[in-house]
Amino acid sequence: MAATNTTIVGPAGTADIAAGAGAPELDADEEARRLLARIATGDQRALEQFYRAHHGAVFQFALRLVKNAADAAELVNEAMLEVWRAAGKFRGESRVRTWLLGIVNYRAIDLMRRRKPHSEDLTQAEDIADESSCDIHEALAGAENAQHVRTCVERLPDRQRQVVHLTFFEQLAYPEVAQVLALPTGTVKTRIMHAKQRLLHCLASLLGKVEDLR
Amino acid sequence: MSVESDRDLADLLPWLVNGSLAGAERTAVLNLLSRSPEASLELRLWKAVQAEARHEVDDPGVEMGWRRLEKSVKQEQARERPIRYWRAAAAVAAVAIVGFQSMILWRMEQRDAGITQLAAPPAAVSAHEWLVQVRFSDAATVAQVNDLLAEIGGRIVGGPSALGVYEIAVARDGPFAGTDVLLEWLRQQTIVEEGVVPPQPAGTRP
Repeated sequence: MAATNTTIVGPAGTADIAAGAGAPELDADEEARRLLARIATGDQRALEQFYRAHHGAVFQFALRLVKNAADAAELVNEAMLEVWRAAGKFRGESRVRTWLLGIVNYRAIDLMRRRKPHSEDLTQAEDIADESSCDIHEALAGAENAQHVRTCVERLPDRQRQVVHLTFFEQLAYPEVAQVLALPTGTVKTRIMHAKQRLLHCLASLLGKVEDLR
Repeated sequence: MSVESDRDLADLLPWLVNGSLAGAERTAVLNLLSRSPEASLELRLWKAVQAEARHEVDDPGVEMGWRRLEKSVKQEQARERPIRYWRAAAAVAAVAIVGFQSMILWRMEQRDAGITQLAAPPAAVSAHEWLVQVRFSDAATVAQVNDLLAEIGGRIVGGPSALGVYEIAVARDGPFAGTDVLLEWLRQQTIVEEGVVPPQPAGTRP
């Protein structure tokens, strides 16, 4: 289920919240399924169309996983090559975009393990929340500054930033985020909760520095 | 609604903001927002994150990426091609081997068609003959055996078996009135150690 920009009427502050799956997203998924069916028969033109349609999303997600453009470009290539090999194995149980980002995720894990076999496991490591309290009003004042928000999102630990990216950039539902990252839905919710705590703390801290300079 | 479940509902706020929350969960989160100022503040945070999330980092470009993928696909196809040829060659070789084996078996069958086992049951005892089994002494010569056969009007139709037993068909219209007489006569011959009348082949009378 992806979002459209439909305006709804609800409690205060919710009037600009998107609602419901939109027809364009469903059409895009249908088109992606058709392309996958053609790719499965060895149609390279279909692969090119698929690549052009999904390259941006795959690259942006890959960048959240590996943090540098060169590795992200390599991940895009590996993931799309996997699509070429495994298009016939797509079972249609999820949206094509969810399936595709899942491939990017496990390819990224594979890449990290190849490069740093003894490094922290992307899938197993614990989320560490910043437990120190902060004033939410102060933090939200920091959120008024777009650059501060961007900085704080970039500072999130990888695992939390991936959930934030899939939720707000890809606009995936939380079960879809869980599917892409091969995690239980409870873990996805835990990561977003920890992300919120870190964001609030980071925003409050950045605002404090600005205030100090004044 | 309990505090704990309000906390659980607040954790769903990001998906309310991105529009993917639906049904009862969506209704429950909207209800939470109507009664919880803290949840409304958190909603502001997530909206700010949503607004910034679409900040994209420049990528190397779709054209360059596509050319790289195209090259990778070609390399993969080039790697697969010898494997496909190898598989085809293996299939042809397997068919050839099976065909060759079939031909050998067929030729062996043709060659062995005229061979019969010496110890096999006599194939040609007519209704005008008795079948008797005889074991000759070790000292018996071929000439003595041939003389005996001529005297009784007999011919060897089987043997010798592992025990040295020959099967002899004896004409019924010869000098013997019956198998008892024939056996009695045979047992009196010096070159005969033993003689018996086995069950007669089908189609013959005792």
